[in-house]
Amino acid sequence: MPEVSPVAARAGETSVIDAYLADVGARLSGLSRAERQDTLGELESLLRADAERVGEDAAVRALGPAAEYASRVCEALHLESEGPTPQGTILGMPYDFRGASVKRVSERLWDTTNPRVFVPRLFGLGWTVNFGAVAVRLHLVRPDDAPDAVFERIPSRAVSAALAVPAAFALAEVLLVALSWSSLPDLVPVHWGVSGAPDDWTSRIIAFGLLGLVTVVPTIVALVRVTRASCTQRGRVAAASATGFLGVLGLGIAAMTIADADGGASGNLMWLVLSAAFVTAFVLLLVPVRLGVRAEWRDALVGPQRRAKKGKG
Amino acid sequence: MTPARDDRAAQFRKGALELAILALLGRDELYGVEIVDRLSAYPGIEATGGTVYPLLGRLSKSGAVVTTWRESPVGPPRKYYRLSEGGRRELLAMAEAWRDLSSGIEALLGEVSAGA
Repeated sequence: MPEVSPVAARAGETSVIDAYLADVGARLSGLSRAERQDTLGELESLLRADAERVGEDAAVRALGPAAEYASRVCEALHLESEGPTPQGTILGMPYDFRGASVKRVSERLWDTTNPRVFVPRLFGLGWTVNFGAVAVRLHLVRPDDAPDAVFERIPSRAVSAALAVPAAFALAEVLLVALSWSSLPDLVPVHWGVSGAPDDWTSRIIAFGLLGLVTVVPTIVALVRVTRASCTQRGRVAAASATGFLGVLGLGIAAMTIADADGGASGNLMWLVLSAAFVTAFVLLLVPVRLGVRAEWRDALVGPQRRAKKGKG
Repeated sequence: MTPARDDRAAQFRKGALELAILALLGRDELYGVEIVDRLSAYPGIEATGGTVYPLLGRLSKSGAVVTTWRESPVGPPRKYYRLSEGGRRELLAMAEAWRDLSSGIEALLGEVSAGA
Protein backbone atom coordinates (compact mmCIF):
# COMPACT_ATOMS: atom_id res chain seq x y z
CA MET A 1 0.00 0.00 0.00
CA PRO A 2 1.64 3.28 -1.03
CA GLU A 3 -0.27 5.55 1.32
CA VAL A 4 -0.92 4.40 4.86
CA SER A 5 -4.44 5.30 5.85
CA PRO A 6 -4.93 7.25 9.07
CA VAL A 7 -6.84 4.38 10.63
CA ALA A 8 -4.10 1.86 9.96
CA ALA A 9 -1.40 4.27 11.02
CA ARG A 10 -3.02 4.78 14.35
CA ALA A 11 -1.83 1.62 16.03
CA GLY A 12 -0.12 -0.24 13.22
CA GLU A 13 -3.15 -2.54 13.03
CA THR A 14 -4.55 -3.85 9.76
CA SER A 15 -6.77 -1.33 8.04
CA VAL A 16 -10.55 -1.48 8.41
CA ILE A 17 -10.83 -2.08 4.69
CA ASP A 18 -8.45 -5.04 4.76
CA ALA A 19 -10.29 -6.53 7.70
CA TYR A 20 -13.63 -6.07 5.93
CA LEU A 21 -12.28 -7.59 2.70
CA ALA A 22 -10.94 -10.58 4.62
CA ASP A 23 -14.27 -10.96 6.37
CA VAL A 24 -16.26 -10.82 3.13
CA GLY A 25 -13.77 -13.12 1.39
CA ALA A 26 -14.13 -15.74 4.12
CA ARG A 27 -17.87 -15.84 3.47
CA LEU A 28 -17.57 -16.28 -0.29
CA SER A 29 -16.36 -19.87 -0.15
CA GLY A 30 -19.29 -20.85 -2.37
CA LEU A 31 -17.81 -18.94 -5.29
CA SER A 32 -15.05 -20.12 -7.56
CA ARG A 33 -11.57 -18.80 -6.88
CA ALA A 34 -11.69 -16.50 -9.89
CA GLU A 35 -15.11 -15.13 -8.99
CA ARG A 36 -13.97 -14.50 -5.44
CA GLN A 37 -10.85 -12.67 -6.57
CA ASP A 38 -12.84 -10.55 -9.03
CA THR A 39 -15.37 -9.67 -6.38
CA LEU A 40 -12.80 -8.74 -3.76
CA GLY A 41 -10.70 -6.77 -6.25
CA GLU A 42 -13.74 -4.84 -7.35
CA LEU A 43 -14.86 -4.23 -3.77
CA GLU A 44 -11.41 -3.07 -2.74
CA SER A 45 -11.21 -0.50 -5.52
CA LEU A 46 -14.69 0.79 -4.68
CA LEU A 47 -13.92 0.97 -0.97
CA ARG A 48 -10.61 2.77 -1.44
CA ALA A 49 -12.28 5.39 -3.61
CA ASP A 50 -15.06 5.84 -1.05
CA ALA A 51 -12.55 6.01 1.79
CA GLU A 52 -10.88 8.91 0.05
CA ARG A 53 -14.05 10.94 0.51
CA VAL A 54 -15.44 9.83 3.83
CA GLY A 55 -12.68 7.85 5.51
CA GLU A 56 -12.23 4.13 5.83
CA ASP A 57 -14.56 3.63 8.75
CA ALA A 58 -17.51 5.38 7.15
CA ALA A 59 -16.85 3.73 3.79
CA VAL A 60 -16.93 0.29 5.36
CA ARG A 61 -19.89 1.12 7.56
CA ALA A 62 -21.92 2.25 4.52
CA LEU A 63 -21.68 -1.25 3.07
CA GLY A 64 -23.29 -2.94 6.05
CA PRO A 65 -22.12 -6.10 7.83
CA ALA A 66 -19.69 -8.30 5.89
CA ALA A 67 -22.03 -11.29 6.13
CA GLU A 68 -24.88 -9.39 4.47
CA TYR A 69 -22.60 -7.97 1.81
CA ALA A 70 -21.28 -11.46 1.01
CA SER A 71 -24.77 -12.89 0.79
CA ARG A 72 -25.81 -10.13 -1.62
CA VAL A 73 -22.78 -10.89 -3.77
CA CYS A 74 -23.68 -14.59 -3.87
CA GLU A 75 -27.25 -13.75 -4.71
CA ALA A 76 -26.24 -11.37 -7.50
CA LEU A 77 -23.74 -13.77 -9.05
CA HIS A 78 -25.93 -16.82 -8.85
CA LEU A 79 -28.71 -15.16 -10.77
CA GLU A 80 -26.10 -15.11 -13.49
CA SER A 81 -25.35 -18.81 -13.78
CA GLU A 82 -27.83 -20.82 -15.78
CA GLY A 83 -27.95 -24.38 -14.59
CA PRO A 84 -25.14 -26.38 -13.11
CA THR A 85 -21.63 -25.65 -14.29
CA PRO A 86 -19.47 -28.56 -15.34
CA GLN A 87 -15.80 -28.73 -14.43
CA GLY A 88 -14.86 -28.21 -18.07
CA THR A 89 -15.49 -29.41 -21.60
CA ILE A 90 -13.74 -31.75 -24.02
CA LEU A 91 -14.70 -31.34 -27.69
CA GLY A 92 -17.80 -29.48 -26.60
CA MET A 93 -18.87 -32.24 -24.23
CA PRO A 94 -19.04 -31.36 -20.56
CA TYR A 95 -17.04 -33.43 -18.09
CA ASP A 96 -16.77 -33.55 -14.33
CA PHE A 97 -14.55 -35.81 -12.27
CA ARG A 98 -14.84 -34.08 -8.93
CA GLY A 99 -16.83 -36.93 -7.48
CA ALA A 100 -20.56 -37.15 -6.92
CA SER A 101 -22.44 -37.00 -3.66
CA VAL A 102 -26.01 -38.23 -3.29
CA LYS A 103 -27.08 -34.65 -2.75
CA ARG A 104 -25.48 -33.37 -5.94
CA VAL A 105 -26.78 -36.32 -7.99
CA SER A 106 -30.31 -35.66 -6.81
CA GLU A 107 -29.99 -31.98 -7.66
CA ARG A 108 -29.04 -32.87 -11.22
CA LEU A 109 -31.64 -35.57 -11.74
CA TRP A 110 -34.51 -33.43 -10.53
CA ASP A 111 -34.25 -29.67 -10.96
CA THR A 112 -37.60 -28.22 -11.97
CA THR A 113 -36.24 -24.69 -11.90
CA ASN A 114 -33.80 -25.45 -14.70
CA PRO A 115 -35.70 -25.79 -17.99
CA ARG A 116 -32.87 -27.70 -19.67
CA VAL A 117 -33.56 -31.41 -20.11
CA PHE A 118 -29.96 -32.42 -20.78
CA VAL A 119 -27.59 -31.25 -18.08
CA PRO A 120 -23.87 -31.93 -17.72
CA ARG A 121 -23.20 -35.32 -16.20
CA LEU A 122 -22.16 -35.17 -12.57
CA PHE A 123 -19.41 -37.72 -12.92
CA GLY A 124 -17.76 -38.58 -16.20
CA LEU A 125 -18.30 -37.32 -19.70
CA GLY A 126 -21.45 -36.17 -21.45
CA TRP A 127 -24.93 -35.29 -20.34
CA THR A 128 -27.56 -36.66 -18.06
CA VAL A 129 -31.32 -36.19 -18.04
CA ASN A 130 -32.91 -33.60 -15.77
CA PHE A 131 -36.16 -35.43 -15.09
CA GLY A 132 -37.47 -32.37 -13.30
CA ALA A 133 -37.44 -30.44 -16.58
CA VAL A 134 -39.14 -33.38 -18.33
CA ALA A 135 -41.93 -33.39 -15.73
CA VAL A 136 -42.37 -29.63 -16.14
CA ARG A 137 -42.58 -29.94 -19.94
CA LEU A 138 -45.16 -32.70 -19.65
CA HIS A 139 -47.12 -30.41 -17.30
CA LEU A 140 -46.92 -33.03 -14.56
CA VAL A 141 -45.48 -30.54 -12.08
CA ARG A 142 -45.07 -26.79 -12.07
CA PRO A 143 -41.53 -25.40 -11.92
CA ASP A 144 -42.20 -23.91 -8.49
CA ASP A 145 -43.88 -27.05 -7.20
CA ALA A 146 -40.86 -28.98 -6.14
CA PRO A 147 -38.39 -27.06 -4.08
CA ASP A 148 -36.23 -28.99 -1.63
CA ALA A 149 -38.92 -28.70 1.05
CA VAL A 150 -41.32 -30.84 -0.98
CA PHE A 151 -38.93 -33.79 -0.87
CA GLU A 152 -38.98 -33.71 2.91
CA ARG A 153 -42.77 -33.85 2.80
CA ILE A 154 -42.85 -37.13 0.90
CA PRO A 155 -44.48 -39.76 3.13
CA SER A 156 -41.91 -42.24 4.46
CA ARG A 157 -43.95 -45.13 3.16
CA ALA A 158 -43.76 -43.71 -0.37
CA VAL A 159 -39.97 -43.42 -0.06
CA SER A 160 -39.71 -47.00 1.17
CA ALA A 161 -41.94 -48.17 -1.67
CA ALA A 162 -39.79 -46.31 -4.19
CA LEU A 163 -36.66 -47.94 -2.76
CA ALA A 164 -38.32 -51.36 -2.86
CA VAL A 165 -38.70 -51.12 -6.65
CA PRO A 166 -34.97 -51.25 -7.52
CA ALA A 167 -34.45 -53.87 -4.80
CA ALA A 168 -37.11 -56.01 -6.47
CA PHE A 169 -35.53 -55.57 -9.92
CA ALA A 170 -32.10 -56.53 -8.57
CA LEU A 171 -33.55 -59.57 -6.81
CA ALA A 172 -35.46 -60.59 -9.95
CA GLU A 173 -32.27 -60.30 -11.99
CA VAL A 174 -30.33 -62.50 -9.55
CA LEU A 175 -33.14 -65.08 -9.34
CA LEU A 176 -33.61 -65.18 -13.11
CA VAL A 177 -29.91 -65.89 -13.67
CA ALA A 178 -29.69 -68.36 -10.77
CA LEU A 179 -32.75 -70.35 -11.90
CA SER A 180 -31.66 -70.60 -15.52
CA TRP A 181 -27.95 -71.15 -14.73
CA SER A 182 -27.96 -74.96 -15.12
CA SER A 183 -29.68 -74.79 -18.50
CA LEU A 184 -27.36 -72.10 -19.89
CA PRO A 185 -24.57 -72.99 -22.33
CA ASP A 186 -20.98 -72.03 -21.45
CA LEU A 187 -21.00 -69.21 -23.97
CA VAL A 188 -23.80 -66.64 -23.90
CA PRO A 189 -24.50 -63.70 -26.24
CA VAL A 190 -23.22 -60.32 -25.06
CA HIS A 191 -23.69 -58.19 -28.16
CA TRP A 192 -26.52 -57.88 -30.63
CA GLY A 193 -26.12 -56.62 -34.20
CA VAL A 194 -28.34 -54.15 -35.97
CA SER A 195 -30.42 -57.04 -37.30
CA GLY A 196 -31.23 -58.09 -33.75
CA ALA A 197 -29.22 -61.33 -33.89
CA PRO A 198 -26.40 -61.86 -31.38
CA ASP A 199 -22.97 -61.39 -32.94
CA ASP A 200 -20.63 -61.80 -29.97
CA TRP A 201 -20.49 -64.41 -27.20
CA THR A 202 -18.59 -64.69 -23.91
CA SER A 203 -18.35 -67.15 -21.04
CA ARG A 204 -21.50 -67.02 -18.93
CA ILE A 205 -19.49 -66.42 -15.76
CA ILE A 206 -17.87 -63.31 -17.19
CA ALA A 207 -21.05 -62.07 -18.88
CA PHE A 208 -23.30 -62.32 -15.83
CA GLY A 209 -20.49 -61.42 -13.43
CA LEU A 210 -19.94 -58.12 -15.25
CA LEU A 211 -23.65 -57.47 -15.55
CA GLY A 212 -24.10 -58.01 -11.81
CA LEU A 213 -21.10 -55.83 -11.07
CA VAL A 214 -22.52 -52.83 -12.93
CA THR A 215 -26.20 -53.27 -12.05
CA VAL A 216 -26.77 -55.32 -8.87
CA VAL A 217 -23.71 -54.25 -6.85
CA PRO A 218 -24.26 -50.45 -7.19
CA THR A 219 -27.92 -50.98 -6.28
CA ILE A 220 -27.00 -52.84 -3.08
CA VAL A 221 -24.38 -50.19 -2.18
CA ALA A 222 -26.83 -47.35 -2.79
CA LEU A 223 -29.67 -49.02 -0.87
CA VAL A 224 -27.39 -49.59 2.11
CA ARG A 225 -26.11 -46.02 2.03
CA VAL A 226 -29.55 -44.41 2.01
CA THR A 227 -30.56 -46.17 5.22
CA ARG A 228 -28.23 -43.81 7.09
CA ALA A 229 -30.09 -41.28 9.19
CA SER A 230 -28.07 -38.43 7.64
CA CYS A 231 -29.47 -39.17 4.19
CA THR A 232 -32.22 -36.76 3.12
CA GLN A 233 -35.53 -37.90 1.64
CA ARG A 234 -34.42 -36.26 -1.56
CA GLY A 235 -31.27 -38.36 -1.58
CA ARG A 236 -33.30 -41.52 -1.01
CA VAL A 237 -35.72 -40.77 -3.84
CA ALA A 238 -32.86 -39.93 -6.19
CA ALA A 239 -31.15 -43.20 -5.24
CA ALA A 240 -34.38 -45.11 -5.91
CA SER A 241 -34.62 -43.48 -9.34
CA ALA A 242 -31.00 -44.06 -10.34
CA THR A 243 -30.93 -47.68 -9.14
CA GLY A 244 -34.37 -48.27 -10.67
CA PHE A 245 -32.77 -47.36 -14.00
CA LEU A 246 -29.96 -49.86 -13.36
CA GLY A 247 -32.45 -52.51 -12.22
CA VAL A 248 -34.53 -52.40 -15.40
CA LEU A 249 -31.37 -52.32 -17.50
CA GLY A 250 -29.87 -55.31 -15.66
CA LEU A 251 -33.05 -57.36 -15.70
CA GLY A 252 -33.67 -56.57 -19.37
CA ILE A 253 -30.15 -57.48 -20.47
CA ALA A 254 -30.20 -60.68 -18.37
CA ALA A 255 -33.53 -61.66 -19.93
CA MET A 256 -32.28 -60.97 -23.47
CA THR A 257 -29.10 -62.93 -22.82
CA ILE A 258 -30.95 -65.95 -21.44
CA ALA A 259 -33.63 -65.87 -24.16
CA ASP A 260 -31.01 -65.88 -26.95
CA ALA A 261 -28.53 -68.23 -25.21
CA ASP A 262 -29.69 -71.25 -27.20
CA GLY A 263 -29.16 -69.51 -30.53
CA GLY A 264 -32.46 -67.63 -30.78
CA ALA A 265 -32.76 -64.02 -31.87
CA SER A 266 -35.35 -62.14 -29.89
CA GLY A 267 -34.75 -59.05 -32.00
CA ASN A 268 -32.90 -55.92 -31.04
CA LEU A 269 -34.80 -55.08 -27.91
CA MET A 270 -32.08 -52.95 -26.38
CA TRP A 271 -33.92 -49.72 -27.23
CA LEU A 272 -37.00 -51.09 -25.48
CA VAL A 273 -35.01 -51.98 -22.36
CA LEU A 274 -33.39 -48.54 -22.34
CA SER A 275 -36.69 -46.72 -22.74
CA ALA A 276 -38.23 -48.81 -19.98
CA ALA A 277 -35.25 -47.94 -17.76
CA PHE A 278 -35.70 -44.21 -18.41
CA VAL A 279 -39.43 -44.39 -17.78
CA THR A 280 -38.85 -46.29 -14.53
CA ALA A 281 -36.30 -43.72 -13.32
CA PHE A 282 -38.73 -40.94 -14.20
CA VAL A 283 -41.72 -42.52 -12.48
CA LEU A 284 -39.69 -43.26 -9.35
CA LEU A 285 -38.93 -39.55 -9.05
CA LEU A 286 -42.27 -38.20 -10.18
CA VAL A 287 -44.63 -40.25 -8.02
CA PRO A 288 -42.90 -39.47 -4.69
CA VAL A 289 -42.61 -35.78 -5.62
CA ARG A 290 -46.32 -35.64 -6.46
CA LEU A 291 -47.12 -37.23 -3.12
CA GLY A 292 -44.90 -34.65 -1.40
CA VAL A 293 -46.64 -31.81 -3.22
CA ARG A 294 -49.99 -33.25 -2.25
CA ALA A 295 -48.96 -33.48 1.41
CA GLU A 296 -47.89 -29.85 1.31
CA TRP A 297 -51.17 -28.74 -0.26
CA ARG A 298 -53.15 -30.68 2.28
CA ASP A 299 -51.28 -28.95 5.09
CA ALA A 300 -51.67 -25.58 3.45
CA LEU A 301 -55.43 -26.04 3.20
CA VAL A 302 -55.86 -26.75 6.90
CA GLY A 303 -53.05 -24.40 7.88
CA PRO A 304 -53.41 -21.45 10.23
CA GLN A 305 -54.00 -18.89 7.45
CA ARG A 306 -56.95 -20.76 6.08
CA ARG A 307 -58.40 -21.17 9.53
CA ALA A 308 -57.97 -17.47 10.23
CA LYS A 309 -59.77 -16.63 6.99
CA LYS A 310 -62.62 -18.96 7.83
CA GLY A 311 -62.84 -17.39 11.27
CA LYS A 312 -63.19 -13.93 9.74
CA GLY A 313 -65.76 -14.94 7.10
CA MET B 1 -44.17 -0.66 7.95
CA THR B 2 -44.30 -4.30 8.96
CA PRO B 3 -41.18 -6.39 8.33
CA ALA B 4 -43.06 -8.48 5.77
CA ARG B 5 -44.01 -5.42 3.76
CA ASP B 6 -40.48 -4.12 4.01
CA ASP B 7 -39.29 -7.37 2.50
CA ARG B 8 -41.69 -7.14 -0.38
CA ALA B 9 -40.67 -3.58 -1.14
CA ALA B 10 -37.05 -4.73 -1.06
CA GLN B 11 -37.85 -7.44 -3.61
CA PHE B 12 -39.40 -4.87 -5.95
CA ARG B 13 -36.43 -2.63 -5.55
CA LYS B 14 -33.85 -5.26 -6.26
CA GLY B 15 -35.10 -5.83 -9.78
CA ALA B 16 -35.62 -2.14 -10.39
CA LEU B 17 -32.21 -1.18 -9.06
CA GLU B 18 -30.37 -3.03 -11.78
CA LEU B 19 -32.36 -1.21 -14.43
CA ALA B 20 -31.75 2.08 -12.61
CA ILE B 21 -28.00 1.48 -12.64
CA LEU B 22 -28.04 0.62 -16.33
CA ALA B 23 -30.06 3.78 -17.00
CA LEU B 24 -27.58 5.95 -15.09
CA LEU B 25 -24.62 4.41 -16.87
CA GLY B 26 -26.46 4.85 -20.17
CA ARG B 27 -26.10 8.60 -19.69
CA ASP B 28 -22.69 8.97 -18.08
CA GLU B 29 -19.59 7.10 -17.19
CA LEU B 30 -19.54 6.96 -13.39
CA TYR B 31 -17.50 5.50 -10.57
CA GLY B 32 -18.92 3.52 -7.68
CA VAL B 33 -19.87 6.13 -5.18
CA GLU B 34 -21.17 8.48 -7.88
CA ILE B 35 -23.71 5.84 -8.81
CA VAL B 36 -24.83 5.63 -5.18
CA ASP B 37 -25.02 9.42 -4.97
CA ARG B 38 -27.05 9.79 -8.14
CA LEU B 39 -29.47 7.10 -7.04
CA SER B 40 -30.04 8.91 -3.75
CA ALA B 41 -31.66 11.72 -5.74
CA TYR B 42 -34.55 9.38 -6.57
CA PRO B 43 -36.61 8.49 -3.52
CA GLY B 44 -37.69 4.86 -3.62
CA ILE B 45 -34.61 3.53 -5.36
CA GLU B 46 -31.91 5.10 -3.23
CA ALA B 47 -29.48 2.41 -2.11
CA THR B 48 -26.23 2.00 -0.26
CA GLY B 49 -22.97 0.74 -1.68
CA GLY B 50 -23.72 -2.51 0.10
CA THR B 51 -26.56 -3.12 -2.36
CA VAL B 52 -25.18 -1.37 -5.43
CA TYR B 53 -21.65 -2.83 -5.47
CA PRO B 54 -22.68 -6.49 -5.68
CA LEU B 55 -24.90 -5.56 -8.64
CA LEU B 56 -21.98 -3.76 -10.31
CA GLY B 57 -19.96 -6.94 -9.89
CA ARG B 58 -22.70 -8.93 -11.53
CA LEU B 59 -23.11 -6.47 -14.39
CA SER B 60 -19.41 -6.41 -15.16
CA LYS B 61 -19.23 -10.18 -14.99
CA SER B 62 -22.08 -10.49 -17.48
CA GLY B 63 -20.37 -7.97 -19.73
CA ALA B 64 -23.19 -5.40 -19.57
CA VAL B 65 -20.80 -2.82 -18.17
CA VAL B 66 -17.11 -2.28 -18.83
CA THR B 67 -14.70 -0.66 -16.45
CA THR B 68 -11.79 1.73 -16.91
CA TRP B 69 -9.28 2.92 -14.35
CA ARG B 70 -8.83 6.68 -14.29
CA GLU B 71 -6.49 8.85 -12.25
CA SER B 72 -8.29 10.89 -9.68
CA PRO B 73 -7.21 14.40 -8.71
CA VAL B 74 -7.12 13.20 -5.11
CA GLY B 75 -6.32 9.77 -3.81
CA PRO B 76 -6.05 6.43 -5.62
CA PRO B 77 -7.21 5.87 -9.21
CA ARG B 78 -10.91 5.18 -9.58
CA LYS B 79 -12.69 2.47 -11.46
CA TYR B 80 -15.25 3.95 -13.84
CA TYR B 81 -18.21 2.02 -15.17
CA ARG B 82 -19.93 2.49 -18.49
CA LEU B 83 -22.34 0.46 -20.62
CA SER B 84 -21.01 -1.94 -23.22
CA GLU B 85 -22.84 -2.47 -26.51
CA GLY B 86 -24.53 -5.50 -24.97
CA GLY B 87 -25.40 -3.45 -21.89
CA ARG B 88 -27.04 -0.82 -24.07
CA ARG B 89 -29.17 -3.47 -25.76
CA GLU B 90 -30.04 -4.90 -22.37
CA LEU B 91 -31.02 -1.44 -21.14
CA LEU B 92 -33.35 -0.95 -24.13
CA ALA B 93 -34.95 -4.36 -23.67
CA MET B 94 -35.33 -3.93 -19.92
CA ALA B 95 -36.71 -0.41 -20.31
CA GLU B 96 -39.36 -1.66 -22.70
CA ALA B 97 -40.28 -4.53 -20.40
CA TRP B 98 -40.41 -2.13 -17.48
CA ARG B 99 -42.77 0.26 -19.27
CA ASP B 100 -45.12 -2.56 -20.20
CA LEU B 101 -45.05 -3.86 -16.68
CA SER B 102 -45.51 -0.53 -14.99
CA SER B 103 -48.36 0.59 -17.25
CA GLY B 104 -50.10 -2.72 -16.60
CA ILE B 105 -49.61 -2.47 -12.85
CA GLU B 106 -50.58 1.22 -12.91
CA ALA B 107 -53.86 0.37 -14.65
CA LEU B 108 -54.60 -2.37 -12.14
CA LEU B 109 -53.78 -0.15 -9.18
CA GLY B 110 -56.06 2.53 -10.62
CA GLU B 111 -58.91 0.03 -10.58
CA VAL B 112 -58.04 -0.88 -7.00
CA SER B 113 -58.26 2.68 -5.72
CA ALA B 114 -61.39 3.37 -7.82
CA GLY B 115 -63.06 0.26 -6.43
CA ALA B 116 -62.14 1.00 -2.85
